[in-house]
Amino acid sequence: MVAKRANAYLELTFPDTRVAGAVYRSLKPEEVLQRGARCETKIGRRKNVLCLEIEAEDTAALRAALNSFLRWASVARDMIKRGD
Amino acid sequence: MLCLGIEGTAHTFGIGIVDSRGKVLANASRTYVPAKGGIHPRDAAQFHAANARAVLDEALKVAKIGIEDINLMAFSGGPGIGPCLRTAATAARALASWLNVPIISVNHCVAHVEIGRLTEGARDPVTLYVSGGNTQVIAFDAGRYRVFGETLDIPVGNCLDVFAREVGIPHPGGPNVERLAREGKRYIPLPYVVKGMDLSFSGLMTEAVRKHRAGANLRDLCYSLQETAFAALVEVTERAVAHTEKKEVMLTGGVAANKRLREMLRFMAKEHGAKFYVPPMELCADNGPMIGWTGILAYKHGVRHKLDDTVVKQRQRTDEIDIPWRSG
Repeated sequence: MVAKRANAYLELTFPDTRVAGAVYRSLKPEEVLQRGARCETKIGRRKNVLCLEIEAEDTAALRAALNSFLRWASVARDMIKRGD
Repeated sequence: MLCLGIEGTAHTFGIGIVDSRGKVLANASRTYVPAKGGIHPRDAAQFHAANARAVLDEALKVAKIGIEDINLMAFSGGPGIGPCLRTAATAARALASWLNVPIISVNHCVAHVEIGRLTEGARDPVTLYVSGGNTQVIAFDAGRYRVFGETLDIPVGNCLDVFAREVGIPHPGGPNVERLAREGKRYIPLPYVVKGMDLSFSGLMTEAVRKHRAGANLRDLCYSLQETAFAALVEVTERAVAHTEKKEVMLTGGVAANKRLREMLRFMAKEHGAKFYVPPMELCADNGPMIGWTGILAYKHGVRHKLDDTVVKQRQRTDEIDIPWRSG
């Protein structure tokens, strides 16, 4: 269990539930690696909104987790968006 | 069946599209080159995330297919650099979820062997896999690829690259060391470390740097570094050939580009009456097609992974993976 000193809650809104669902399923396995580390992340979804809750021991760990999950959400969205 | 394979264990983000007959329809990639120093994990992962879509578009264009034509996803599940692995895995999961197709996590080292077997027609080689991130002597036995010998510290590619960086040889380190080595004339004694079937390169690298700082001729040092490192690699590979009595030797990985290493291995293989193979360089370096092809092999032989099974494993070993597509 992480001693909470810094936390963040994000909601990422996607165009529709199919996109949100694909991004959610691509990120969900990444929760596993967080357990026992300096931060824990819970990933949820509510229709077309992805919810990320991050609890960290310190702000450096929080920032690292935020950067990582935002990067992964971004690459997941990029891979499935309709091409130009 | 068409498989899209994503490679992202270190500095290369690659996508390959392969069909179930083993035809490579596309091999697209981008490689992160740091401005200075080695690979920074966060920066490399950021590079992969920024370039993933462009690599995908290029691969689809070369293969002349749409994303909806893909029936199977595969990705490099390990070993490798954590942030890079997780970025590639996320990209693969997103596509698998979107397309509602199966996904297979592939071991990077096994994939190097399998693409070589495909392109070269090698049936059962002893493989020397040498790169910036790995140095292993691999051969198939009892249902798995076994590691007959490996580095105890740094990979040989890392030895060459770090030496180059420390003595001021510009990027790319390994090829430039090779170029300078060809002009070397005198062998300078350096630590030769083989422990049983395993190797060590960190002391070799440190001593080579120290000798450079003490004034040794750089060309002679490059020559000596290669001769020492490569002789050790050939010794361990030869011992594996003698033990297994296999009649094929294969060289792969980024360091397979080195002509001196190829020459030494070819000579050794000939002495044992073994055929010698080196895949095309675009498939020796890290690449997407090897991931795609290995994914097809695994899937066709009953391997199934759920999304929960696709957590990456930074330290996954070659000998942890069952290989149901081979017998023996």
